[in-house]
Amino acid sequence: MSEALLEQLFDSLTDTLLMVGTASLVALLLGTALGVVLFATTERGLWRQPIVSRGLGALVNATRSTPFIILMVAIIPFTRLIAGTSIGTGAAIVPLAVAAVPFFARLVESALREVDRGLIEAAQAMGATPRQILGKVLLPEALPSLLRGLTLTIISLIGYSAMAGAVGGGGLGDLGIRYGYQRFNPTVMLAVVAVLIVLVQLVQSLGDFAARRLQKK
Amino acid sequence: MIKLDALGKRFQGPSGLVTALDDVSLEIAQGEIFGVIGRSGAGKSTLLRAINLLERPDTGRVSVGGVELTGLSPDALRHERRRIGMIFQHFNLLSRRSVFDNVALPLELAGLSKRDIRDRVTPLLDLVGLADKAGQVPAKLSGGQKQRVGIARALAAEPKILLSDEATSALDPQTTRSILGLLKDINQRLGLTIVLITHEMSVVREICDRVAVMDAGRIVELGSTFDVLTQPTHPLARDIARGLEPELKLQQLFGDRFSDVAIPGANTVLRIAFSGPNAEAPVIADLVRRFNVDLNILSGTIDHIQDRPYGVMKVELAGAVEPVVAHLKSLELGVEVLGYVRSALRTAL
Repeated sequence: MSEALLEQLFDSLTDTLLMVGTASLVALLLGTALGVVLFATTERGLWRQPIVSRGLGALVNATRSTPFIILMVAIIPFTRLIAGTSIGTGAAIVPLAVAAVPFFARLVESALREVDRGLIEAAQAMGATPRQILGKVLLPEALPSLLRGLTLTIISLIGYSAMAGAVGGGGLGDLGIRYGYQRFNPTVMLAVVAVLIVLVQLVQSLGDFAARRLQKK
Repeated sequence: MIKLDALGKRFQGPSGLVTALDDVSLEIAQGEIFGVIGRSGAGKSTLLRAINLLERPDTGRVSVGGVELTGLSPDALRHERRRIGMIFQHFNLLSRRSVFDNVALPLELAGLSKRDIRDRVTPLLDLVGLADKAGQVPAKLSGGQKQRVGIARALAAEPKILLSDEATSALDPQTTRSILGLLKDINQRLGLTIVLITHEMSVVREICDRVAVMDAGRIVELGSTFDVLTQPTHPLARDIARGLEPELKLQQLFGDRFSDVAIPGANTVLRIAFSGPNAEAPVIADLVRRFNVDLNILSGTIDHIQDRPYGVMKVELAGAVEPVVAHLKSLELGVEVLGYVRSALRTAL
């Protein structure tokens, strides 16, 4: 492999990490918030709001049922609004985040649901406010599964980011398609796949390790 | 201390409406250990949760310490709840917090400083005998230890009342006794009012001053533990109270010699309950001498309920039964004819 190619590989990896990292961060912040709202507004929730619950649920489902490649193209006007352009690595972050937020939100919701209802009841009996129940009981107790959810989200984002090339974004996927596929260069293709495998493995191991450390059972 | 006034509550169950509370009124005095017993689904859990309004009744009023909880805003209710501790069957401890931090939780919620929390939690861990486990997580503890953490946590905010939701039902008999001993100790030392629900009469017998028996959302019997256990009037209360006696299956014991109806010349099976002034008198020996009857003891227990002696004996009696029964009644002992057995006693002797 030539030095130029190595440099390309390195640049693409940086692009991927930038896209995935930023989108993950957005998913972590907005997805947690959305997940909490989804959890809390249900019929038996802490802030019962059936209309909000059903509305947000439908929106989340709609986003999640749209294939990413289509979602990316469909929200170009929105992307342009946020990023100022619809082309390039920076612009690719927007659809990645839009896809990741509802994905992670559902994982947050189910992690919160898994917390024993008895704990909520105990906190209520102590006179805890809904906010305290969330901050002192639900989120801390759900932390290990929240972390596993985040790991899953990051890995999914790595997969999605490969499609960013379709809107002129960079990254490993783009490199693999342009050099490996369109220019018939199997070395590049293999190198890209190898880097992706290592990357995913690394994220998974790190996530598992951290979740285990948090789980005190 | 606690006043429940005409509480009603219905749930939408899988097969129609279920009445969990049906016009329940109850007063529980300060410093009392009050038990609520009943089968599952009798409404006792709903009753307990109505006291701190975890379960808000559809109708009726709940007052605790002179404050009517049913009339409070959510914020004021939360404030009042801090004065009512609660422990649970499955402990409900936070798995990711240490023993210390679990006990500290109610104090954190109340906004106490770190130092005040430490000053409060440390003696509580001493009280429940877990000072050496402060840094452990609950998963490392036994069931009895977890419940001790639950008790310490419930006491952290210095409540006036402790609600116990089947707190010993997940524990083995020995651990149950030690937890009940702890509750009794707390009751006496801190003057804490304790309301506990259970399906085990042995729990009631061990520590309760008064007991209510619940069935289908209603209190069917209410009185001192001694009275309810020794002289239950409602059939369910009788069933539950007699559950403490050794089981004696007369039909199995005597086979076809046993009969529910009187047979001329047959022996009589009597159940004699020893309570009241003559509970400790040598009644059986006296009967044999006085009436010249033969007695075969089938089963017997002697027990202390609320420090008063109480015994139950089942005997097979050969001879005239009426004067014996009359005599026992004159001694204020409980007598009941359980059935008749065709004689085998005399020939055996």
